Amino acid sequence: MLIEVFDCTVAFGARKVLDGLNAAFKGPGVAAVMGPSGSGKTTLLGVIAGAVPTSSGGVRVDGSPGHGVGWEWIVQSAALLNRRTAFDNVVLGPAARGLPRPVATEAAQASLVTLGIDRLAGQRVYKLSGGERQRVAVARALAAGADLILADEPTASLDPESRELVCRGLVWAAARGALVVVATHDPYVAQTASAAYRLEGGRLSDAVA
Amino acid sequence: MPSREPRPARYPYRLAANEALANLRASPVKTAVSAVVGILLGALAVVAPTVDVGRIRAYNDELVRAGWNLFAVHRNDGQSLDAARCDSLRAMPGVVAAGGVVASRRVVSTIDAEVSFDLIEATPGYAATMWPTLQERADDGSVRAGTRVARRLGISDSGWVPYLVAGVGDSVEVVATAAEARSAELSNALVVPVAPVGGVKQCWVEAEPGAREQVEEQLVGWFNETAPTFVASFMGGEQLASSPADQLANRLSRWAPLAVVLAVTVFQVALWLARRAEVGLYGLMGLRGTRLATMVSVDFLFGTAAPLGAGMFAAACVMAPRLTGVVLEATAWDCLRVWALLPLAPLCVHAAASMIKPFDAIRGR
Repeated sequence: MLIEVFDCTVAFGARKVLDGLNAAFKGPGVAAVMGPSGSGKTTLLGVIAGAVPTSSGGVRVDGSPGHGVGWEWIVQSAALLNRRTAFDNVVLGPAARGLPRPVATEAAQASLVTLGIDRLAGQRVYKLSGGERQRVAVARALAAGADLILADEPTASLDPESRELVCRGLVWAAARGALVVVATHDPYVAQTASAAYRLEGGRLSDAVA
Repeated sequence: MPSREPRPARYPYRLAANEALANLRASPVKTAVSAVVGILLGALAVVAPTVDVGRIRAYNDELVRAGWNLFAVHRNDGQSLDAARCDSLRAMPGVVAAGGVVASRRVVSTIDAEVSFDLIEATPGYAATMWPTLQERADDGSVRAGTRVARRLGISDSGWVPYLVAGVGDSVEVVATAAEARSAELSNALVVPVAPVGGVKQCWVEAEPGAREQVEEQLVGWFNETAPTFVASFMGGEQLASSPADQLANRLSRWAPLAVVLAVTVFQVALWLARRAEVGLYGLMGLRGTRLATMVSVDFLFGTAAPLGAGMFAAACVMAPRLTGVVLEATAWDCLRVWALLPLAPLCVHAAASMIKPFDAIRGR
């Protein structure tokens, strides 16, 4: 998969968050986008997903105009169904894509094991810690088998063990053919990524090693 | 593990419905609160018209007992009206009772010489015009005793009353009346039904509550073959602030169906907007449009509509003794209006949920 963002400008009022940005993300692999707070990392993910309108420019997927179809989203706050169990949340990913229940269940269980949270499958999400919740969100994205995973600060506020498990999950997804675009502050994530970029002044550049 | 071939990113309808049910089960407290609200509002939809229309009906029943629908027809020249013609009014559509006094005389009881009373001979339907409760029994053949004379003669239910008139003894078997007559004079009278021959000074006619104007109009010309007449209302010139029909049309409870549906709508929209992060998450997964409508509908059906129906049913069981006649009719129509308007609630919920931007919602904005 090749996702290209060309001449992309996004403005919120008078402030240009992305200013004629050009980028190319090639999958499978993990691409880390780093930058200070407010630099537009989340906005860039939103543009790729088609959730944020652009003033100019656009997105091409494998050479054709469009947005990242079949993508999964992992957010910092780990958007989950809090009153449901971890398993219910994870199986929702593949089930929402129309996978039969047995297949979705198998995918969910595998993801839970990969993220080391299979023992928490029956727990309601609101009882889980922040790191566990984030791992549930990652597990859902993995179980869905999406071709494109957009992760917004997935390791924020995580302990080292949880951070490692999350990164391992993202790499695992890439190994299975997905393109993972991660917006992050975390240098550890950049180190595990196959490509790293820096977003500053509304434009993207290769990250300094 | 699932293969990597492309899969549709649209949310299955079946899953939308199952998710709605699973979310109801996963939040028992919220579901219970929603159910209680639904039950109470359903009960309100029944109780409001039952109480309101019941009050109106009781007031109107009181008016009827007081003689609101009772008319007296007189000849302009004060002469008598044909008794048979008066009696024939009983067959007129909209007439409940009709009759007049043929003759009246003062008599003395032979049981107690201190007790004198009026012995009134009247057409068969006259007693029913003066004692409205008699209309339900349709018994024109009995001699009726007013409450005061019955009490003085010691008659509690029925009995024989011997009397003297012009020195000649006679007796009559009477049925005591429990209620006071519309005319106070009859309290100390016996009313004896006789054949409608001869004349009556006044012809009394009682109309059904819904036929008052129609009967009054027909009475105007009923006796005009013999002489001009005028029709007077028993309650004189008393004017009602509003007619029974107007009272029903303008009752406050007529707003109950709309109020119930509005309350349901506001409550449900608030519940869904409080879940905007979840709704945003579902939106990112493809739960939009008709799939979102499916989820909203299933959630509404089991979480609100069913409790609403249960509340209506429970209230109807409790209020069953009062649900008769016009009260039953008004309550049934109000409940039907609730169900007819109710789809507005999930439509509003769907509209509100559709306005949630998934990208912003999951980020807490």
